[in-house]
Amino acid sequence: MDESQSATTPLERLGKLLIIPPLSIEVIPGDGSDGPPDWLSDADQQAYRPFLYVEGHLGVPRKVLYKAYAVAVREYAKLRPSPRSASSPIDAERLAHLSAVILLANPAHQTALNTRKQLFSSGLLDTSKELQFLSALLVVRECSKESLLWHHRRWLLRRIVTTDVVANARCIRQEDTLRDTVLSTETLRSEFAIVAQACETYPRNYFAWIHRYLCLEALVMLARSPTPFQQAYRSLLLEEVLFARTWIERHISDYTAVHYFCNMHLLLLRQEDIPLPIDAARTLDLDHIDNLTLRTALYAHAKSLLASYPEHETMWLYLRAAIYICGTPDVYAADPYGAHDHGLGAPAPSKLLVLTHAERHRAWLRRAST
Amino acid sequence: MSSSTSKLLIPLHVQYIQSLGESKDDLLYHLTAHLRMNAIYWGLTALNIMQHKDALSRTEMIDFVVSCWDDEAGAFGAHPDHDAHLHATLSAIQILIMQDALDRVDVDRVVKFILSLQQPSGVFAGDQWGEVDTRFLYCAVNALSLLGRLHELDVEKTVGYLRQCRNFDGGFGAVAGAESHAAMVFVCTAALAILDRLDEIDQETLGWWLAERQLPNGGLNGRPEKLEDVCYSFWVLSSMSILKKIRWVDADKLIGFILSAQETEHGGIADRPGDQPDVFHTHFGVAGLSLLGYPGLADLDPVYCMPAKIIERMGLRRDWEALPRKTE
Repeated sequence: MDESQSATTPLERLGKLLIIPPLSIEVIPGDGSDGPPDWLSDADQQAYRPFLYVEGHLGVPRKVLYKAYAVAVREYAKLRPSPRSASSPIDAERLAHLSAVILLANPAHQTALNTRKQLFSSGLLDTSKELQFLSALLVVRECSKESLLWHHRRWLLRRIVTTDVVANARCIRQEDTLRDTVLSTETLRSEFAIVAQACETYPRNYFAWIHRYLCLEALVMLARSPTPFQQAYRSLLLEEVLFARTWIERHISDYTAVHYFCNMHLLLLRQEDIPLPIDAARTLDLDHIDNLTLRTALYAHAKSLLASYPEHETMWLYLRAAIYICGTPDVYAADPYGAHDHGLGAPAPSKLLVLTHAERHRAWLRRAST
Repeated sequence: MSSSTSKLLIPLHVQYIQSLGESKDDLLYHLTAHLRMNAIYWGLTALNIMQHKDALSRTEMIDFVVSCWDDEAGAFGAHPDHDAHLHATLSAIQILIMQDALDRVDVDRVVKFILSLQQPSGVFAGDQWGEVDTRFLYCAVNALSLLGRLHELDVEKTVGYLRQCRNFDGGFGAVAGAESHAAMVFVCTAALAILDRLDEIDQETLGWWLAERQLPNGGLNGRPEKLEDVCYSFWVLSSMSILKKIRWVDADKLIGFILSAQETEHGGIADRPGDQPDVFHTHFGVAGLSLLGYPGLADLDPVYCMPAKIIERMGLRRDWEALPRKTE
């Protein structure tokens, strides 16, 4: 039997399971009293009760979680050292368990998360385990939109790349950005994947998309830097362009994705050197890659999506954003879309909605040109 | 709309706010400890606007605020034994001002804490661990202004960051590069109002974006294609009030929406009709109604989100415009 099975209270058991850490966590309805299903009836599983723990996937009954939380906050308050930075190793382990349980039930509990940073800075927590714990937390719906957890991720990422103590100390004063952090393509790919999952869990996930953007900023800088890995970064950047474009096509009410995609263009077009790989033109179905072709392609994409989904406010806003990025005065001079005509052709229930959007777009064009 | 939600049920909401501290054994009470200071500020401000400012014990409240002092950091946490944070510190200052007890604050230490959180780019972190957000920038500017120490702030650096957060649609996000969001539009607009730098805003474009937050049911959302939520009655309206464009919103429809989100048995206002109320939405619903000129309410200063009378007395009133107060 492993440690988590021999722990006696549900709180202790949960704390030990959370710091393994699990590959994924799900908060499930109920109180776990009906036990694991028959197909999970081996002795090991029975010993994890009331929790389910199968091949790294942890199931936590909601009522058990909240009971454990109530106990955890009391014990945590008693155990917190003063000054905050001083913890004995035994206390540190207990604090790691308690803070993990607290954060699962209440991801906004800033003080508990601060404790984890303190433990980490004292060398008592492991980077990759902490990142894995966060990855599992960030798929739980209530946790996935918590800005603190995304910041904690970046705080850890800045420390992966600086193992030496002096640089680490400098990191503590460093601003919350990944711009000067040399992350590998695997790390960046992994961050993008976690953000995508969090955005499926919680649509329009504001802080997840910010995290993605901060990773993108880092990627664009790395793709522009003359290092041995430049081509790998450029390939990843092309993947990210395709990802964003496809995401918009599959989530047509997702203005956050539109904003991201447009800002991505602003980053790519900021300098003459557009940091995409040589085969990018073929992949993006363009003659060649330059400032004009990328902007034109953005505008064409916005226009074609609007033609398909004119009931969606997001598609009209996408066109506005594309007009802004294309940014020549004559673009504002006329309605480039012929929206009114399209409105007339729309099926009856959405006709009024489409016409309203079209009118608003015209008014916006008039206002923008004055 | 039923007759029971065609007016603001002030006595019921006062009772609701009074009852909030009572169930200290409730799970919900423990799950919200990390924002207790903020919750008390929301409750007290709502009571002030509803003209029942003495409905909660003044001494108990002041004692609670003082018990949240984090002496290691020199600032306030949200709850006793919770770490200091800029947001909790602002709420503490606002509460003590409303309770006429600002003398309980070690102003020098708090100012030192606040100024230490400004980053090289001009944004503010919320605490020593470094999460940055324009919300924290607003907390810093607001707090320094209330403490009479705004002159110690590097204004150009602060405004410089806000400029980076401005999106092409005229709105502002949480950090440079983030999507426009009504809550961030409020904090950036109000911060710029305090700093007398509203010239940094494309006011027509932003006014337009804000007006587009109103949905057919009268409620306001925070971003395009999101659901209406009562709290945006404050974030959006206060921004429009600062930009002097509050008439760009259909006031009657919005009032109707806010009133329909009231809980008519035990009081409180929810995010939208039919949902559970909470003190956050109660406060912002009442705040929105005040800006819309709803009768029987006191004036709210939209820049500081505090009673207008207090802000005026402190000489901090900026040039904003709410709808005139209707008579009953």
